[in-house]
Amino acid sequence: MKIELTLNGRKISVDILPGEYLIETLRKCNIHSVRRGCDTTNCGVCTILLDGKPVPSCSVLSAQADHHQITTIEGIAHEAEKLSTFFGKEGADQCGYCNPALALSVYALMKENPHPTSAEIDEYLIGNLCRCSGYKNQNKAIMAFLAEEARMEEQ
Amino acid sequence: MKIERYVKSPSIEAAFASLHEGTNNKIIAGGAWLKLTDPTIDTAIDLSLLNLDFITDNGKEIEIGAMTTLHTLGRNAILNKIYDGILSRAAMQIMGITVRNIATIGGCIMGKFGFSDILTPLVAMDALLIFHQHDKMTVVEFLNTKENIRDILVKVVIRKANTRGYFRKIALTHLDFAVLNTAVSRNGSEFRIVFGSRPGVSTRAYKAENFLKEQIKIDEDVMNKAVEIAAAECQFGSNQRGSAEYRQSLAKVYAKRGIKAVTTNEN
Amino acid sequence: MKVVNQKIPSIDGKSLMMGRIAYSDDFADSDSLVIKVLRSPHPFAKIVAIDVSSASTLPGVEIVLTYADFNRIPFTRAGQGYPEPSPHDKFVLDEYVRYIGDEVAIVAAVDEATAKQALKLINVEYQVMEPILDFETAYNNPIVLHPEPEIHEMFPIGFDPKKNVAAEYHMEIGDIETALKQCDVVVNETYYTQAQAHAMMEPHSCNARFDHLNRLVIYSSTQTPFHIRRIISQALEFPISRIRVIKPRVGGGFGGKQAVHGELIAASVTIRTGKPSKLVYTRKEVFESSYTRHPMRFDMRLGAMKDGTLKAIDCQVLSDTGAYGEHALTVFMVAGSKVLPLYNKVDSVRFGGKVVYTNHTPAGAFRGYGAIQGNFALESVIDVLCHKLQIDPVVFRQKNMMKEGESSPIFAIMGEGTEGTAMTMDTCKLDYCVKRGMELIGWKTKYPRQVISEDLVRGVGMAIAMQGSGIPLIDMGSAIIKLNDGGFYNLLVGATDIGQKSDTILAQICAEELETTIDKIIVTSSDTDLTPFDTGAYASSTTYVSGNAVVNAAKAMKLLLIEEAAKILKINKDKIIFDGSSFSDSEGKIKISLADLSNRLYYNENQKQLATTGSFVGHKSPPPFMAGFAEVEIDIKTGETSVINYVSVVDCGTTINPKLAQGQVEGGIVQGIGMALYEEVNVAKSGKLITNSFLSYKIPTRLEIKNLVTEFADSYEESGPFGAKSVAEIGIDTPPAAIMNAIYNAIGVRINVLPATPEKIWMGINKKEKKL
Ligand SMILES: Cc1cc2nc3c(=O)[nH]c(=O)nc-3n(C[C@H](O)[C@H](O)[C@H](O)COP(=O)(O)OP(=O)(O)OC[C@H]3O[C@@H](n4cnc5c(N)ncnc54)[C@H](O)[C@@H]3O)c2cc1C
Repeated sequence: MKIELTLNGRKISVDILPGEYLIETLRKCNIHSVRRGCDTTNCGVCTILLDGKPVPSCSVLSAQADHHQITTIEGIAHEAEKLSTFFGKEGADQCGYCNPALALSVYALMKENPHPTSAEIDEYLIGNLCRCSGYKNQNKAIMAFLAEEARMEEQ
Repeated sequence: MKIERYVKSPSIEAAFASLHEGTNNKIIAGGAWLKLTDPTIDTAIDLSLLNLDFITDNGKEIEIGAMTTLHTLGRNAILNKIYDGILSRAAMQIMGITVRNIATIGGCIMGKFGFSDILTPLVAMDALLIFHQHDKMTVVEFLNTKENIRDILVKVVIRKANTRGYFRKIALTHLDFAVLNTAVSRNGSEFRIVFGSRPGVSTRAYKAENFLKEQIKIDEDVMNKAVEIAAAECQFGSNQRGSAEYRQSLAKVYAKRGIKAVTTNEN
Repeated sequence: MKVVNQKIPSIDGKSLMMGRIAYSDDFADSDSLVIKVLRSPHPFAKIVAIDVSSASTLPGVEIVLTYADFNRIPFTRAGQGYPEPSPHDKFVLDEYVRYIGDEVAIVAAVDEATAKQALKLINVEYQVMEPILDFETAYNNPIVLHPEPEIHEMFPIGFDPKKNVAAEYHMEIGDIETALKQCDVVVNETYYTQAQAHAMMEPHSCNARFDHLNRLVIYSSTQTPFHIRRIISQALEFPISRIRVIKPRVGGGFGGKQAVHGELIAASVTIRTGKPSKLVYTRKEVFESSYTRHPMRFDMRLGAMKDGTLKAIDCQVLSDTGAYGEHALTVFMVAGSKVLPLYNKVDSVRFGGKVVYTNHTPAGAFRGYGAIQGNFALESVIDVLCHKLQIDPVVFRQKNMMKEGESSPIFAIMGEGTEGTAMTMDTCKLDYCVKRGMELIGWKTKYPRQVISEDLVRGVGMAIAMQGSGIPLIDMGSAIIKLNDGGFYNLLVGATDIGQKSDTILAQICAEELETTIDKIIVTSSDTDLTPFDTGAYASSTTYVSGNAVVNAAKAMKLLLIEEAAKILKINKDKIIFDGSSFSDSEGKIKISLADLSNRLYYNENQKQLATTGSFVGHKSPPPFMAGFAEVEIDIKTGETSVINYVSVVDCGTTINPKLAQGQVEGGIVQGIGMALYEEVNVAKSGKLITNSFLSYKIPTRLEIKNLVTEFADSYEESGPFGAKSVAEIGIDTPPAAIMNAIYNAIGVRINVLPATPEKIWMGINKKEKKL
């Protein structure tokens, strides 16, 4: 079947199987940044934004997304780059495999709740597993990034 | 997942008709759990165009559309108040944001999952299920019926009253299924004590509830007696997440904490 | 130091966050054949007949391979130096399958759906045999898991397959029985550790193709590209000169990608079909069919005098290597050699045991590499002894532990398969680590417990640990530095960045030595064609071994530069002052910039390429040390436990990058907390791994991790690059023991079988209450 997606702001039409998942469709669209981690929605590595909300692309059927908006890290490159400087400062990045997904989740969090507490960050991002970092430096970086974004917003 | 056809039904009638066109036709809500079971489906029936994503308060009742996601339940101001917010609290303890954004209350109910953290507070709130064709029924009736209801769940209704509530999910990590979940609610002298993920589906401790109802004062002694009754009347089983003995012991501890919570700081 | 010991952002972090093409599967050819592996449903069986005819003829299937298609060449997948200290007990495919998930047949097809469908069409007739699933019954069991005649050890490691023994070792210093007899107090405890899963976020992935020179090019998420090249050549009888292994970015390894995974399979498919192919493990395959930590049993006996002098340690180990013997000997050796020297003043120490085969998923390398298992046993039993002696466990350790300038005879005796290397602790700030850790956790006020409420009790516990910095006389690293026009450098290293950010660390070392900035160092790593040899990312070797190689190459480059500058400036090279960007005489009158010098060298005068090579092999393996302090909060009614505070004070020498070093420590701590409390491994009676997905195997989430405090001791290891030792593994070692000690201090319950789940703790509380 054919579906229409708005992928990172661009309308596209893709041929899919009815049982196909977004992670597979996105590979067909040459998006490599959406990577597979577990296939059971537990790890968060394949996160994308569907109408601005983080969802696991391994478990959302492409057909479900017909006529919806999909954002991958390429769609928020500017914010991802900014976030990465805070990760760099805190040494919060290691293997990086989960980072685009994490950045997308942080972006969605920021839109939903620009001034989250540390506990709210944990609650929001709990599904983004990381086996490298120990999490704490990530949280510091995310807090600093959100504070900076909030400051910019006020100006 | 193997799917022959995928339809976004334009109306509830159309969805219902599709469902009855073939035994291998299935409703897809969030689809998160369906994916794990890797089924083969002839027609997948998507409900997303039916405007079933709503939470309304008509003064007497709160109505929750079947397609409302867990994240919406968690963030909703009305639900955060009623029964001390146990439904919201339970929703926010399920998985991460990505699953909460796709999993729906309808899917959580219709799946009748033993591990469900949603059914337990819904039983404690004595929620009503409204189907497209089938007669309405309470969640407890739904859980007890052997009938395979091939219908569309439209909404969930929670009756408002001056109520208190308590919910705890006990799990190895915050991303795991519950070893046990416990909800306790109180509406005046009426208590509800509910255990879920026993590992069986959520169940009420009727005898303990009745015992509590007869008491003039809920003191330490009464609570201890009540939770003994509750733990004895409900069945607990063993699986890799915990033994029956452990679950039974947790049930006592958390039921007591729950009773305490709903009988103190009266508003 | 301007670049070293600075919190410089990693050089690849930005692009990785932006989702650029980086990991193995991103490089797979778009027309790759998709490989799927038929895996054994039985823990132990012989393939009596295998019919692949319907699978082979399914449209879209390119090739189906079974054991009949391979020459019988035994090898080890371990991914270690050569000759390996692991038995050569594996065939690419064999007619026996030895665990649920073992490889039976290989299918390559045009797409995944076809490959999966073909798997279903393969008919296998198994002669199902009784497996060994309890490692304590494996030794000398009538069931023999490896009866095949071709398998062998490369040198004596105690290999005795007829008794299901993959490796065995015993040593004794002094006379243990006599020493124990003379002690006032003797304790005797048994401990068990579980088959922890690495759970790196990127599943194992590799892909292959032939290039324009008809050479086999493999991208792989591996920690050991050079070993992989060698093993492919040996196992597939394919010329090593026609193999190129490239390791792009790797999404985490932790030891789980040290050994061969799909490389031999993808190579076989591409060699036979001439077509590109790829194999990406499913998460289930990662759990069931890659590797785990070696589960172990420790029988510990300690003896001490009433005054708190430790006199004797007896440590007897049984280790379960699963179906194959990857790292069987060496992980077990490290359980002694990088643990027991912590208490170096004893009269007698005995260590020994066996590593046995079972029908479990093979065990392999995993961060900590035996040391975490041994540390859990030793640092737990030390606390048991302290309680018997009624001595504060910190005071006991301060009295008995290793100090700077001291040594242990164990270093000389126990190596990795061979003899060890004697060494003195030129840097050992353990004393400081313990003292500082006590302050940070608040030991004086919190030890042993605080009652928070009717239900909640808190306790503190601690453990000390050591690791190594590479394997002396074996681990080798090398680096090439090339000067470019414009005055910047290429740094080519075989060292393998798997997410620990070694490219950044090595660039910092290089920049420091060349007195330049990190943007002038362009790192290329881990491409067997382009970069010089390196044994790989394991044994905490990269910073120390490869880092020293970079220092050597950079030193040589500096000399070369000064020589060339002297020629151009026409002054004696001893008079040249090089500040990293320009050369001048002592008065600063005559001057040439590095950029100008390089441009002249390549365009104008006496043209020549400047490039230097540096190599390094350690003559010792200076251990990093640490003290770990855990504070736990326990619900005494339910056994629910959380680590509310974990303090780490680490002596790893100079931290080349303090933030990245902190990341290494904290990542290790969290994995250690996982092993201590959450990562339960369940195997069904049938031998099936139940915990084979993230649905059931639970690693810590960000909500489990409450507070981490990480500090570094002021320390400078002369033999290391700019004073550095290793920091990659040390973090993981202390949590199991420190947390179990904290639990004991809180509620008097001792957990000897990991992990300490709430139910186990609850059972312990119940048992104790019944006794009272
Ligand atoms: C990895 C993972 C972990 C989870 N952990 C937990 C947990 O700890 N606790 C917990 O409570 N839940 C947990 N869940 C369950 C999660 O809440 C489920 O995804 C949810 O219960 C199903 O919702 P869904 O909308 O995805 O339903 P689907 O998967 O789309 O549907 C589930 C079933 O309900 C039927 N259905 C759905 N909507 C309707 C309707 N309106 N009318 C009639 N039939 C309908 C479907 O046909 C299907 O049979 C977990 C899920 C996953 C994937």
